[in-house]
Amino acid sequence: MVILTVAASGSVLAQAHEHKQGPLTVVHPWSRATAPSQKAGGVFLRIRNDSNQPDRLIGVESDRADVASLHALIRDGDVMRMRPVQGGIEVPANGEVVLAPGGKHVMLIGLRAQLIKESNIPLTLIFERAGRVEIVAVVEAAGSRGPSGAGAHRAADTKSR
Amino acid sequence: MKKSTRIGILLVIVVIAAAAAMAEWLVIRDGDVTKLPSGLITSVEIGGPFTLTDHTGRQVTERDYLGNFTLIFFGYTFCPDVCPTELGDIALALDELGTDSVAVTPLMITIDPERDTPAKLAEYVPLFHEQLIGLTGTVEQIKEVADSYRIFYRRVEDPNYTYYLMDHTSFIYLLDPEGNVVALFRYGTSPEEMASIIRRHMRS
Repeated sequence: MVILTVAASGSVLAQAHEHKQGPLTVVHPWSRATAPSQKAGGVFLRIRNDSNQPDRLIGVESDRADVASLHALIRDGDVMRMRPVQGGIEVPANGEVVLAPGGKHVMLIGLRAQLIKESNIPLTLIFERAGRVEIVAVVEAAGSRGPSGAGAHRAADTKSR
Repeated sequence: MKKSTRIGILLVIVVIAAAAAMAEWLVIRDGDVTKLPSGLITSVEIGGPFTLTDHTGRQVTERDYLGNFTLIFFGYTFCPDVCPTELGDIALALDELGTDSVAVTPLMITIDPERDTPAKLAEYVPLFHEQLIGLTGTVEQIKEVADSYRIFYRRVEDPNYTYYLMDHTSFIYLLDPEGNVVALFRYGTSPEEMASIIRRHMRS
């Protein structure tokens, strides 16, 4: 069991978690496991831009959901509001943008199948300059706080295996 | 002004100050992280009786959870970001408590009763923690319990989707074994902080 766990997480880490296209690098896209009838999920990632010119993430596509879009969590006091991002997400020149829990994310609405831990979600990010970038997000535990199982809970580990 | 009147006024002031201090103490026993929103005077004003249905389909009330510490989170299963984060943090806090976690019952009360049936909650809650209990109810039952815990929630329709999201207050409450709210954890409270505050209440 222990060996299996190590092997499984090793294979996740061994997967290409960077997707490079021109000056852009998409670093470790990840998502969270869902229940069978759960219809929404978020995808989180980091985008690095090694160019002197800014770019802009303007869209996203995925055949795993009815709708894929860019969303942001807005904290209004203690009330959480999820809203579509207007005008895309800027990727600063020689800088990076982080899409993480509690902030901006790719929203998958109308999931066509359950997101199972350690499975992959193919997505296409659409940038103003760089164009279409194909990426693969890795599904982490349902309550994960970050990629590579950070915050993954053992109950979730055993459940989804 | 007569001396007795002055003493009387002074006494009133002292009593008011003491009451205010007491109320403050009740509210912020845990220090800054659990400071309740202004306007809430004492912890006894938050929470109250409820009748709901758990994820196994059993009808429950607040009395079913007395005798243990209880964590109450209000969320919904369609929630793509905040709820998994909060529930993941609750799971980590329970892990942090180790064997003491058996003295804590984590509850997630849905604020989306129209979609979150017991069956849906039954699929959802074990993804986070084996002790987590999902609670749902009628629209009226949910409104009553959310109101008593000062939870705002609202359906947000987007013409582009057939699905809807919810705006909602993201609070996690800690109740003592007698059912009193003794702490409030705001969004962003770390699992370690949560665990240490729960532990402090277990010892007090």
